[in-house]
Amino acid sequence: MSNQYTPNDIITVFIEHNNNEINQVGYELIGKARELAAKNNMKVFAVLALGARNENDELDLELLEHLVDHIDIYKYNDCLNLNVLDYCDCLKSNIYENKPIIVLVGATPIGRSFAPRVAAHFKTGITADCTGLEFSEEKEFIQIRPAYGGDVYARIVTPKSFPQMATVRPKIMEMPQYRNNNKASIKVYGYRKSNNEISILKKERLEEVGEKIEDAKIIALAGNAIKYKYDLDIIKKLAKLLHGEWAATRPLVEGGLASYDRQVGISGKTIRPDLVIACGVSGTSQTLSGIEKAKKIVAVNIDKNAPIFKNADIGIISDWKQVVEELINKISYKDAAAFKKSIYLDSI
Amino acid sequence: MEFMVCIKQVPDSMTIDINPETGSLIRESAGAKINPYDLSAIEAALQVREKTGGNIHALTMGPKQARFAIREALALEIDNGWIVTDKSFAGSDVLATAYTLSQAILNITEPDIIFCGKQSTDGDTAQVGPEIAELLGIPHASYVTEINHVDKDYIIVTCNMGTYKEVLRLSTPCLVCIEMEAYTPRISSLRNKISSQNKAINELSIGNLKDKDKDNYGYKGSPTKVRKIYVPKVKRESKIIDGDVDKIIDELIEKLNEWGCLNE
Repeated sequence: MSNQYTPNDIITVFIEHNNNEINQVGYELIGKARELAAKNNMKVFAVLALGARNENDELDLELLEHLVDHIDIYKYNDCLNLNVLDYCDCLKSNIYENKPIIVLVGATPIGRSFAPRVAAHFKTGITADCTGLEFSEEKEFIQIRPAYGGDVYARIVTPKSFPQMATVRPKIMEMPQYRNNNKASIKVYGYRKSNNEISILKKERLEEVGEKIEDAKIIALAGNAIKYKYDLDIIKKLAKLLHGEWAATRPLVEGGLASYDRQVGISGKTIRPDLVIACGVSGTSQTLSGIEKAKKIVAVNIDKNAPIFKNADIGIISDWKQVVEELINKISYKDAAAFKKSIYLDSI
Repeated sequence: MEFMVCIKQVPDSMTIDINPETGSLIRESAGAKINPYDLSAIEAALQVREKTGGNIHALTMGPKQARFAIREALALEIDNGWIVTDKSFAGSDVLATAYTLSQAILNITEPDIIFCGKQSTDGDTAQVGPEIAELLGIPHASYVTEINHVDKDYIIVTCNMGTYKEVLRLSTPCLVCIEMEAYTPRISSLRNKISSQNKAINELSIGNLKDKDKDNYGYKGSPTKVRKIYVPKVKRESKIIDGDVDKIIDELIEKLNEWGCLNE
């Protein structure tokens, strides 16, 4: 397969969409693809698969048109909801058509499910959940990801097979620059369903529970030192006081204290808040890769050798519980004082 | 019906360091265990067998000592244990691993359902399951939270896709990747542990597989290569504040104010 594949200077980005809205990770990948393409005189293509229900005008492509060189749309007229095999068919056929050198897919549940199949079909490599993508001086496409459960990073290449594929988690890459005078060419392929092995019987939006940790400005992060529910309650109290949210590292999710939607790290979510207060977090790169985009990190841990300290803006070597409880007391006191003062001022 | 569970042996609590002088990787591991995500895949298979009857095979790829993972699976009343092991499998990436497992599955049986864990704790890619399905030309579902119905010709599953859930009908043979929270693994009884000690573990090597070309396995058969492993560089201030807790908190609050994190 790879012998007949002479790659063109194209970086293809798969664009996922839901409820007629393009998933933001698509734009983020375009941002990275543009940066890579600019240095090497490459083009950036976008690929979309549309079910029958989507009319072209329903899905707003205007922003996309300003960001990429070309858009390929695979439009199904005979089915409403697309399954992983449909996404595979579209991307495979697009890869045969354009022969891109690189293909990027968002590491969303759908992306992580179908993109590996496409890679296996082309007998090529795919690097999951990359945190960085770059070209080396030798023009090799380097895919960076945390390795071995997460204390180190690996620079991975796909030297002989094409396309070179990678998935990237949402919120890792920066959004692209808007290019006002750019107008992408668009090609629409009428497409027919070619598999009947998977049918979607029901699709239901899941209710969002409270504020999502990805959107919070402040995160109180519970680490390995938190073993019991009443300890976790202290972290929750801190989060509430700071108008933020609480999150947890993997051991807490595996231990059943926290649900998966609150997990940060390689196998959880990446967050970019203004502040993370890491309580009893040791700081494996499993965790660090999830919080490294935070503007500020405060770490509280009794173990002075915990790797988190090297990765924090402020480190407090102390029992997390004592520090957090005292912090809660002092902030509450100040809040109460300010509150009393405001009542006093109002009354006069 | 015939069921196959693919499992992996992973290091039990692992510490990784890089020798600062040689730059080589130091991997220290207390021991080995079944990948915790795979225990949920085993549990899902056991629960399906309770309803439909049939045979469950557990398969692992790895060095000879990965037999211990199969031994653990047998103690959970898995019917047949298999290890596919060969020197030429060393250094396998996702594709080479999925290829080896798919070749081994073809050798063993024609499973109606293949069960995989969501991902492994040491690789974290979640890619091997979908790749096995592609190489075998069968449908798959990831993030499966419930197997609602099993028939000879099809199964119905519920998947958690993050912002929505989906109920899918997959024709058999098919592959499912099981969410860990969905199937809490049972504990093997002492009696089963003892009685499974004498159960044979079947061993396959490259000679048993249909494709015997060594270039398709292990490091040679892996399209991805690791150029370098490194400890990430630190960009942060790493200012340590210590001493009296009262003073620590005052200094911290001052910093939080300075960063605009206490404004509201």
